[in-house]
Amino acid sequence: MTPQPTPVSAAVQTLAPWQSYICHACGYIYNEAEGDPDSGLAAGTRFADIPEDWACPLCGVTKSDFELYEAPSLDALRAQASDCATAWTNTSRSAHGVTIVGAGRAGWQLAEALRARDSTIPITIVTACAGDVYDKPLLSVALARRIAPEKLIKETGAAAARRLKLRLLPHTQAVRICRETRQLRTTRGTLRYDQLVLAHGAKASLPPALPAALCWRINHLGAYLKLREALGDAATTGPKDVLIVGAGLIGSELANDLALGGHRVTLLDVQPEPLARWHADKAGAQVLQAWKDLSIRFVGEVKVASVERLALDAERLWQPQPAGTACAGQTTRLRITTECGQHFAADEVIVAAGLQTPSRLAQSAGLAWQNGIAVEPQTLRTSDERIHAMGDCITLDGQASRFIEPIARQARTIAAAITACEPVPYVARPTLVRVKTTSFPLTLH
Amino acid sequence: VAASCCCSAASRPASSRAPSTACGRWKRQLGHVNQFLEDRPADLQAEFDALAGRILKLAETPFDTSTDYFIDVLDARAHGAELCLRAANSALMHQGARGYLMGSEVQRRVREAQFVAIVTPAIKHLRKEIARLSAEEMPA
Repeated sequence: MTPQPTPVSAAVQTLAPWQSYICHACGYIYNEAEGDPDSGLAAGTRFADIPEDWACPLCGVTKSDFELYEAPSLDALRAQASDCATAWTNTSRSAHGVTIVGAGRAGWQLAEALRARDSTIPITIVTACAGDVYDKPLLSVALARRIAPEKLIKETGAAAARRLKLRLLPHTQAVRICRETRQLRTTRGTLRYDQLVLAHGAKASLPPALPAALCWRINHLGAYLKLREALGDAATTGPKDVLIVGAGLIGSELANDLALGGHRVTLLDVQPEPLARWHADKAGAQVLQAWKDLSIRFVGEVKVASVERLALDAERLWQPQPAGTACAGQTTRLRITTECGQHFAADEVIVAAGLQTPSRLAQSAGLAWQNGIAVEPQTLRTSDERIHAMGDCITLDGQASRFIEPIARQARTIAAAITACEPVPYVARPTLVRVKTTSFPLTLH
Repeated sequence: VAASCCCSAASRPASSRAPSTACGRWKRQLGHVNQFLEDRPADLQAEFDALAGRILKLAETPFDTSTDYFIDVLDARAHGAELCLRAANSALMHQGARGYLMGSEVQRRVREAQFVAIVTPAIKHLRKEIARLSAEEMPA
C-alpha cells in the first residue's frame, strides 16, 4: 500500500527531482519516478514513503539496505577522467579498444563503467546469447511474481548497444584468444583488442549420467524462456510434474517458484536436506517447514543414475524411447532412476548441480587457472597484463564467488585500470545471500 | 580432412621462404611508402609462426575425439584461410602496380588464397560448424 501524500507534501514532492536508491546486496536501483509496480509501489512513490517491510524486488533485502544513488553525470565523469591517460587516441594503428566477452550482468556493467569514464573508447561485446539486458535473480521468482517472460528483458541488446555506443556481436562464440597478436577469434570473424575482459560467466554442470537433451539447466535467460514455454501456464494448460536434481540455492529457489506457479515439484539431493551448505544456519529445516503447504516433495540422500524418455505404445504400455527418436504426437514422460533403485516420473527434469567455468578461452591464452580464471585480487587482472576477468568466471585464491553484488564493484575496478585512471582496488568481502524462496525468504552468510 | 589444407600450408617451407626474399627487394625499392601499410611482413610472420605451432601441437594427438579438439582443428583451418587472404592481399599491396598485373605472382596468390577461403569447408562453413558444436544442448 502506498501512503497517501497530503496536498502540500505532494506539491513539494512533485517539485523535487526524482531520486534513485541502490540496493547494497544486489545493485538493484529503485527509481522513484518508476516505482516498483510489481510490489505495489506506484510510479512516483518516494523512497521515504515506502513501507519498512518492503523488500528489494531482486534479492529480498529490506529497505534499510538501500542508500541514495546518484547516477554519475557525464560531465562530472569527464572532469574526473580528464587527468586519466588517453592511451587510445594517440596510437592510431592499435586503437582497437576494449573487447568484452559475455553480455550478462558483468559484461554490461563493465561497458557502462567504461563508457562513464571514457566517451570515445571503442567497446565491442561478443556474446553467445542474444545480449539482452535482464536481471538474472528474477528467473528465480518470475512465476510467483507473475512476471510475463517477455517482461524479463529490461532493454534489448541492440538498444543498450546504441545507448552505450558500442558494437554488440550477439549469438557469437568466442573461440580462441591469440595472445601474441592480441586477437580474439570468434564465429563472426577475428577481433583485435588492446584490452580484453572475460566476463563469460560459468556454465551449469551436468553430471555425466544425465543426457543433455532431456535435462534443463537454468543459468541464463535463453534456457529459462524455453523452459517456461515447455511448462506452459499451470492455470490454463494444467500443472506439470517437474523434477529438480540438486537442492542448493538455485534448485531450491526454482522449486519454490515453480510450485508457487502451480506445478508439482520433486526435489532431489545427495544431501539429507535442502541448502545443506548452510546447515549451520538450519536453512534446510526452515525451508522444508515453509514448503509444507506447497506441492514440493523433497527426497534427500539419493543420487540420480539415469534419465530416460518413455512413450506410451499401442498397448498403452510405457516403453523407453531411444535417444534422438522423434516422439511428436506421442504421450511421453521422463523416468528418473536413482542409484538406490527408486523411480520418479516427470514431464520436465531440471538439473541444478552447480556451476563450472568453461576453460576454453583461458586455456587458449595459457592464462593461470585455479578452479576458474585466476585473477589478482585487487586488480582483477589475469596472468596476462592485457586481459582482465570478472563475474562468475573468476576465482580469487581458488575461490569463486558467484553472486550479483560484487559485479558492479569489479566493473569499476577494471574500468579504472583500462582507462588508466586512479586505481580503484577491488575488495573481496563476504556476500550476504538472500535465498529467494518467496514462501519463506532466508538471509544466509 | 578439414585440417589437411592448413597443414599443407604449414608444411610448405619453400613458399614461406620465397616471400621473404621478394620482401627484401620491395623493401629497398618501396620501403618509404610500404611502412604505412598494415599487415607488415613481421606481423604476418609472427601470426603464421603461432598458428603453425598450434597446428603442430594438434598433430600430436590426431585421434582425440573430443568436441573441444575438433573445434580447435576447425578453428586452425579457418585461421589458415584468413591468414592466406591477408598475406596474399598484403603482398599485392606491398608490390603495388607490379603486383596488380594479371601475370604477376602475387596476383595469382591472391586468387589461390581466395580459393582456400571459399572452397568447402569455406570460412563460413567452418564458423557455422564451430557455432553448432559450441552450443549448449537443451531439451527440445
